[in-house]
Order: sequence, then C-alpha cells, then structure tokens
Amino acid sequence: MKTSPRPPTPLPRQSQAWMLGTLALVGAAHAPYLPLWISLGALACGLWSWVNLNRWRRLPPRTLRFALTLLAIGGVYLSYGELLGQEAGTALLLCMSALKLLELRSRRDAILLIGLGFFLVGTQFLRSQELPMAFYLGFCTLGLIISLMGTTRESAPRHPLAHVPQAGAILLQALPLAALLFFLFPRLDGPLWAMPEDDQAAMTGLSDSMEPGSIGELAQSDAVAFRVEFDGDHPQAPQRYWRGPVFEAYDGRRWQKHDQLHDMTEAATTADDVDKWRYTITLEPHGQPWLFGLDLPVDLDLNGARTRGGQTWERDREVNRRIRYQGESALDYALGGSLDDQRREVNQHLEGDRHPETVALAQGWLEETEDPQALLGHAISFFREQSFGYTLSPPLMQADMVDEFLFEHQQGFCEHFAAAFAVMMRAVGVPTRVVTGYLGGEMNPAGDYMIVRQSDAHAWNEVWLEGEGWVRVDPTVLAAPTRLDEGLEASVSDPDSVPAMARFDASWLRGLQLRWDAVNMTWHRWMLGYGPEMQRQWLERLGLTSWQQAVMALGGALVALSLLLAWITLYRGAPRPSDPAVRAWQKLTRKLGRKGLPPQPAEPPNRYAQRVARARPDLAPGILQLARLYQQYRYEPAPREADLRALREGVRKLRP
Amino acid sequence: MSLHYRRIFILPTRYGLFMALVAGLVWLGGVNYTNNMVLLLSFLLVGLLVISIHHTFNNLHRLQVHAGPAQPVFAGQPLRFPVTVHDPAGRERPAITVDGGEGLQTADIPPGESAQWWLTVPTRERGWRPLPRFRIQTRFPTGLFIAWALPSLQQRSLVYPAPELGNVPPPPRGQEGRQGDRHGEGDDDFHGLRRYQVGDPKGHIAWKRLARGEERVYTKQFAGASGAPRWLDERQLDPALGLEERLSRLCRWIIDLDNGGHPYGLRLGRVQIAPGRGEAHRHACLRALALHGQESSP
Repeated sequence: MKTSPRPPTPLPRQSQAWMLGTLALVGAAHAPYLPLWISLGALACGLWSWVNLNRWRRLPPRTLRFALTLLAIGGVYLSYGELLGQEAGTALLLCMSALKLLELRSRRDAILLIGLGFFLVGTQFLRSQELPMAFYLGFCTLGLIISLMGTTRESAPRHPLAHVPQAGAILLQALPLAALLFFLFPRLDGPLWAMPEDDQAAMTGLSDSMEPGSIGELAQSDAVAFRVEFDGDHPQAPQRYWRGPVFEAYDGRRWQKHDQLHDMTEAATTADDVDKWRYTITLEPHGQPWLFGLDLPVDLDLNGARTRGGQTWERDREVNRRIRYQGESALDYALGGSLDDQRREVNQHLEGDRHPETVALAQGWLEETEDPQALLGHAISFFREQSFGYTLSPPLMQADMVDEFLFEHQQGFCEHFAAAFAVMMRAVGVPTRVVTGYLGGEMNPAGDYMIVRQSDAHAWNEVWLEGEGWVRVDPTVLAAPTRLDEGLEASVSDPDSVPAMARFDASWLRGLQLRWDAVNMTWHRWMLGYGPEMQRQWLERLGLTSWQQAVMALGGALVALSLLLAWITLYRGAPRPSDPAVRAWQKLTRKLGRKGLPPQPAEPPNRYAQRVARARPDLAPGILQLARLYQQYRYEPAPREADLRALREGVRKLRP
Repeated sequence: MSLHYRRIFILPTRYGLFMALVAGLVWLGGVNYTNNMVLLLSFLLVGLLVISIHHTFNNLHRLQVHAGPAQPVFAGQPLRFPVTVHDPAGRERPAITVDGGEGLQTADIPPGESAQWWLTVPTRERGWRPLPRFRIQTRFPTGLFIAWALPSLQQRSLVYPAPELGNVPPPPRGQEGRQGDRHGEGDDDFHGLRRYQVGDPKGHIAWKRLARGEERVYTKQFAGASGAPRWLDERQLDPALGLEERLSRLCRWIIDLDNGGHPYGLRLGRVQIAPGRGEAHRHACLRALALHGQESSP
C-alpha cells in the first residue's frame, strides 16, 4: 500500500464529539460496578477531552499523563488486590481508555479508542447478559460504528447523524453473518485458562443452614429462583414441593447438613408403574451447589450432578451462572427403607438443656402412647388446633426460639413451624429432619412454563416411620392450610410485607410482567442457553453428525452469504433505466454483446445497428427496424405505444 | 472510464487488522467465560469486517473517471491534468481520495454529481506526455479496508521544449538582417518598457530604473526592424549545437518575439509555418518544436 508520509490525520471535530458520547454511554454501564474514584476519574478525563476539543486544543504534558497512568495502575491494585482478574482487568481497561482520551489527537488514537470501546462492551456482557443490557450495548455498538465512519470521513465531516442509515445497514447486514457464526462456529468448552470463580454478592437463594429468620428474609424477594417447563401437564398446587437441601444436624438453634451423613446416599424407591413427571429447569445462579427438583427427583440430568444424603441433588461446583437441566420426579415414592444407627441418632439428637417447655409438652404424650404414628398424630393435632399466625415479620425471639414461638407468640414463618415440629418429634424419639426448598410456583400463561420465586421458599419436615421410611409432614400447612393452595399472600396475616409478585392480583402490570418474563425466558433459553451441547443437538437435527461436516456447512454457508452480498453489491450500483424503451434496447445490446457485438461507448443506436447489420447480414432487416422503432419511440414528440410494443416483441424474438 | 469490479482491488488496512485482533481477543474471552453475548459480539465484529469489504468496495464501484487535457507546458514544468470523477448511481460517495502526485487529495462526491481533482505529472522531455496510471482509493465507511483502482485513461498532453535560459543570441532580423551576422538589436530603436518576464535577456533589464528604487523589474523593449516578419530557421543555427539545444533556442526566440509582439515564421525540417502573431500562432510553432522528429498525430 502506498502512503506518502504525512502528519497524523486530525480528527473531524464532530465525529470526535460523537465518539466521546458513545464511550461515555459504554462507561456509564460500567460505573455501578466500579469504585467511585474510577468513575469520577474517567468522567474527568472525558470532560477534559470535551473541553479540549472545543477550546484549548492542547494535550497535557507527557510526564503528567505518565504519572496518571502509574497512579491508575496503583489505584486498581489497591482497590482489587490484583490487576488481571475479571473485575480488576475491566477496571484497568476502563482506566487506560479514559487516560487515552488525554492524548486523543489523530485518527490512530481514535481507532484505538473505538477498539477499546468494543472490548468494554464485551466485559460488560460478562456482568449481565440480560435482554435490556443486550439492547443497550447493541445501541452502543451502533454508536461505535458511527464513530468509525466519522473518523474515516476525513474529507468533509458531516453531522454524525448523517451516518446513521449506513451504519444501521452495516449492523443489520453484519447480524446474519454473526448469527450464522454464532450457531455454526464450533463451540469450545471453556475455560481456556484458569478463571477465578468470581463470587457474586448479589445472588439470592436458600443458604446452607436454617435458623430463625433466614427463610422469612428470603421470602421477601421477588427474584426468580428457577423456571420449569413441563413435558405435558403441570402438577397441581399441593404437589408443587421443590426439594432442596436437607438438614439433619441440629445444635439447638441452627439446622444444617451433617457432614458424614451427607456423603451417604439414601435409597429412594418408586414403583415401576408410577407416573413420572418430566421437566426442564432453568436455574438462576444462587451461589450454592445444590439443584432443585419436584419432590422427589429421581433423576437430574446435568454433568456432575449427583444425589447426596437426604436425596439432596448437588453439582460438583457452585451454581454461579444460569444453568439448564432436565429432571424426572415421582410424586409417589419410598425413601430410606432402613435407618442405620448413626443416622437415627443424629435425627433424634437434641441439645440437652434446650427448649424445656416443648420437650416437656411432647414427652407428656409418651404417657399415653409410644407408637410413633400416634405421637405424630398428637403433634399434628397440636399444630392444627392451636391458633398460629403465619407471618413474614415474626416478633423477635431471642432466648429460646422454639419455646417462645410455641407458647408465647405463636407467630412465625415456615422455619419456625418446621423447627418446632422437629424438636417436638425428636423429644419423643421419632427421627425427624428439616427439608428446605420451595413450595408453589406460578404458571406463566404467556409462555407455558412455571415460575418459582424466592418468595416461594419453604421449609418442611420428614419423619421416619418404620416400614414407610421418610414421610413428609408440613406443619406450616397444618397451621395455615391456605399456604398450600393459595400461596403466600393468602396465608400470611399481614399481606403488606409480601413482595409484589407473590400477591394474587390480576392487574395489567402483573400481566405485563409475566409477558416480559416469558420474553426473557425465550432469550435465556435460545440465546444464552446455546452451548456446545445444544449446538451438537441442532447440528444433528440438520444431519451433521461430525464436526468436519459442521465446519464444511459453516464454510459453505459463509461462502453462499458472501456471494449473495457480492451479487447485491455489484448489481445494486447499476441504475435501472426508467424508460422502458431504453430497457428493451439494453436487452438487445446484451444479447448481441454475448455474441461478440457489444456497442461501442458513445455509439448511437442507428450507427450500432448499421455496424451489426454489416457484421451479421442475417440480422440486418430486424436490427435496423428495431433501431428505427427505438428512435421513433424515444424522440417523436408523441411516442406511440405501438412502437414500444413492437420494439419489445422484436427484441424478445431476436435470436442472434 | 467506469470503475468496473475487476479493476478494483481491496485489502484490509492496519486498522482492519487491529479490529480483527480485537475480534479474536473478544472471542477468546467469550470462550473462556462461556459467555454467549461476548461470543456474539466477536462474531458481530467479524461480520462488521466482512460487510466493510462490500461497503468500501461499493464506494468506488461504478464511479466514472474522466481526464481532460492539460495545458501544454515547457519541459521541466509539471503538467496538470483535470480528472473528473462522476457518480452515475445516484449514491453519495464520501471520502474518495486521489493520489494526485502532490500527496493525497480527498473529496466527497454528491449523489449523481462529480468532483474534480488535478493530477500533477512532472515532465522532462518535449513531446507527448500521456497521463500515467494513477491511484483512486477510498476507506469509507469503516476505515477497516482500503479499496483502490489504478485507472489508465487515454489522455495525453503536449510538452514544449524548455526555452534556453540566460544570454542567448537575438533572433535573426527580418529581411534586412538576413545576413546572419550578429547584430545588436539596435539600441537606437528603443521602444519602451515592459514588466520583466522569465527568459528576458539580462542585458535588456532596465538596471537604472531598478537602481532608482523601483519595486518592479522592467525590461527594455526594442522595436528592431519595425514589424518586418522574422524567419526562425533551424538550419541557420550554429551547426555545433545539438538538435535539442537548437529547439530550445528556437523556443526561446518564439517566446521573446511573441512577448515583443513581432511577427515571426518558423522553418523546421519540412515544416514551414508562415509568419504570424498571437496566441494560436505561438502554440502552433511551439507544437511544431515539441513534435519535431517525433510521430505527429492529432
């Protein structure tokens, strides 16, 4: 490429302003995740560049820029403790982009900044891939393309908005190519290099232990826990128990899993003829390893998923991004056919001096009967007959949570009921444990799937009965029967504290939100859920079973698309004459041109016709007649349609 | 001439290579973090690069390029050909650049309209000088690719011999002075003053006026043999001079006589141009000098 040496091309003022604006939009998306000093510093750099562009037209001295760069690197290190992690790297990239604004001078600097802008769009996607963010960043991408056009048009800078149509066309034309690559380009299983598992503080979900208040707090969140698509029918409201972690160890206040028991799987058996529910769950990240399934999940199909003690399903690492898996559940099952001594002991354990009143009450029943079934009956009647209140904001219970709940306040949330019930049963020697998970779920009519929210979080119990194994007992439902059928809002005594989405009102806002959720679900399923696995399925559906075939298909599709684009490019530029006679005449010249008789440039039709007539005497009468018709039609003051028809007919019939 | 697709070349610029690098790095990030939107962004950048090829190409495609003749110059002076680039497709063609010999000149071509450039071509020898191939290029819209064409247009222009500089013998006198003896131009026939022009003999500069502090330099004009046409005959020149030197001297004489308003005729080989005056006559004579001994066509 021949380029004569010349000073760096100065930037058109307006396109530089446009680029600053676009970069500001990209930066704004990052700002909420960054330390304040970076956001403010970047803003200052941007403002400086803006003022410089309009007024000063001088760059700060090199030493100052160098010092600022060192300061920024040091600042990032102090803020993050590293320079290269995902968050720290993004922050550093943003700092460097901002500082580059201080030496923005030539087109080269501008292109570098635009490239950095694309990078920053990418790092923002690492934080959120939600639909609104995708739109926002797509808009930023359009802005970056317009900036690119502005910097390229060095001759006569236009208002950048004048570039919007072409930039939009470029983006729209690039999208099908991008989509093709997205679906067909071979997917690799990440990660390629060690990636620090970023702990995301904002995740909500059931924790790995249960103590008073923990679930009640969670139940005040509107956030979606997971979404379920059923193969066929969906279960009725009382069947919507979603099994999560099971807690067997109890220290008098906190329920948690027992490390040893957790590693021992428990047999679950189902009759062969039992109907099984099949479904696909899209689980939101919750920072814990466990997976949820309709109680009782007999199979969850996900790499690295297995059952643990208490039929808890777990993955080998925390769920830190949205995952999809298929599940199979039986609602009719037997669990824990036999109980070994260790498990029995753990599930009967109570701290010696805790909950004296509850223990005394329960042990009172022992004078009447020692049969576990009958004892269970006593406990159930107790919860049914006392007037318990179901509330998200229970009174403070500090000294002895179970005693105070049962005998003093009688106001509590599911964890209070479950804990009190378990203590009661353990006091009379019946093995009892706590199961946490979700109860409920709402069908989204806009998308035919079920949404389970954090507000559906629930805790219930399982008691072990000889011959039956673990049997589910839900003391909350005993005390507040509406919880089962009508959900949280209908059950609690103070509905105001219930999050908006858990309330049952058919307002248009709710309908809108459900619709939006359905759109999101589609987005998650098709755009974000598309991975190596789904790609293989798709390619197999297209009949491409090996990766070689897939690469061939990709190559073929790309070539076809390029040819299509080239064809459009080459033929779009040719203006189509509006005069029908001219079109007919051009058809004629093309026909003759293919036989080696193209018209010369600037050769009038009659002279051309004479030349053709000399070269091909067989065509002579026809061609001379056509030339005459053409000229008559074009140049007569009152052209006759008959001439045009004759011309078209003659051209059509001409067989050179 | 129309810039047909086979005449257009296209290659990525260094900015295009940089964007390809960005796309590759974004792709690596997308794979590493198994992030579909990052992957999509990298593929979008690839798409942007591919689409840029078409748009950049299309910015040149089907442009009509024409060149006009340049004004004849004396050898050593640059010829300036006017080159017109016309858009027949009714699309705007922004940022079209022509490498015009004096660096790059860029202009926008409005839809259906034209833009004009001057192509400067250096000259050394007399005779026809064809317009060489030149470069017309564009990087619009994205700057990631550069498309160019090297049109060769059938256009040429005439280069006259360089006039001899310095003190030269005066042109021969008219009928009276046909002896060929070296005659002064007759100081007695002082005719007037006129502004100095390149090629005027030093001896004729009005030094006294200059010494008086005149800002401008004047040359003394001598009437010579009042209006009698002079014949400039190549054969009467000193045979020791080479052909080109003789043509140079004749050229100088033509300029001098034309400046002085004298009628003159030219005999050069088989060419004979009857005495005359004026612009057309001067060009005819200089043209004869330029083409002497060369193919003579239009």
